[in-house]
Amino acid sequence: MTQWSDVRLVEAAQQGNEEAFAELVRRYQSKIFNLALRYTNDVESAMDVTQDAFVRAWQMLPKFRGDANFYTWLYRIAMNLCIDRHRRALARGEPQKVSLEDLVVERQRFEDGEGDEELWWEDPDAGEPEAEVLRREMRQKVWEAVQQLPPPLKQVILLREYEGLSLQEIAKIVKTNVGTVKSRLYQARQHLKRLLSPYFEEGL
Amino acid sequence: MRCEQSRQWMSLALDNLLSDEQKAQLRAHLKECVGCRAEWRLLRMAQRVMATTPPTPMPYDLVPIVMERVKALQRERKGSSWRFWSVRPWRWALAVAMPFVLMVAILFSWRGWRSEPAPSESFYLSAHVVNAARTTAAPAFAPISLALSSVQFVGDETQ
Repeated sequence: MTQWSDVRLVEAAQQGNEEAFAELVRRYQSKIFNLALRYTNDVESAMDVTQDAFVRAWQMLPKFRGDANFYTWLYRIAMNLCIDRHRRALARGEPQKVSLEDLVVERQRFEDGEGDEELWWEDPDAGEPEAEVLRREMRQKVWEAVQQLPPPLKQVILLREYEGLSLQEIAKIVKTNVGTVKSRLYQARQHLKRLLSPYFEEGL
Repeated sequence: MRCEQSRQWMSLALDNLLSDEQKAQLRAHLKECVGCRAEWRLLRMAQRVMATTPPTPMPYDLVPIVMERVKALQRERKGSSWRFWSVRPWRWALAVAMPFVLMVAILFSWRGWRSEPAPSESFYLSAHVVNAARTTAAPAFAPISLALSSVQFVGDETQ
């Protein structure tokens, strides 16, 4: 069953084959968990969302007609659960877990060359050990900046940059058109630029 | 190229949505504009960092937990209709008795309707008679009764 395609597994699960559904859970639990973790920034919440997303998927499986990929559909379920959870947390007045204000200000320039070829149309080589340490710090700061984005912008940036989904797939998940996705990505990047510029660049 | 357009194109470039000609224009602008160049580097760096962030390992496997919940849902769905009857046996008795009760009620009401006598003339009381009775029973309401008696009667007094 591990060799089966998603489509075949979904069809079998729709006919009540629990083992086929278990295989889908096995296949996507890590992706959904990471998506939820990036959204909620809390491991326990992310585990709850992942669990609920699969149970909800099982309940809604008879309605799944295969117009979208299974994982796109699953992402949408998980994303909606994250949004619901976020709204409930806001309604209860729970504080945000991450604040950029708490961070130690570390300015780090990224001098990857000034020439025309180093304008990063291509990814620069990143094999050095010190670069790895630096990258971990950068990763942390970028992660924390992403947590500060307004939910609709955070949603698209997570799906685009962390999950690597296409604009069309994102549009399906967030139920909007590609133009809106482009616009939100632009706004999200402008937000990120403002949030990250104190740490990474001078003069922005 | 203006910086505002450059910003929009940078976002499109990050999504690989620019044509070669547009890329060349953006590249030319970035070479000239220090601010946009710094912005571009920051955005590229952020994108690269996000794309290369390794997935966080799950603290435990969710498959057994999810499948247990799925099985519980299945049991609940299969058992819900049977449990409705099995948990409270009086529901069986009620379900069996209900049609008989309804049948008897319909039968009696039908017989009653068939044997109902034709209304006598005394059944049709005029408003005057009613008011007279009220006046006798409660003299304190006599003025009201008097006023009411002046209202035109709308029934059929010939029957």
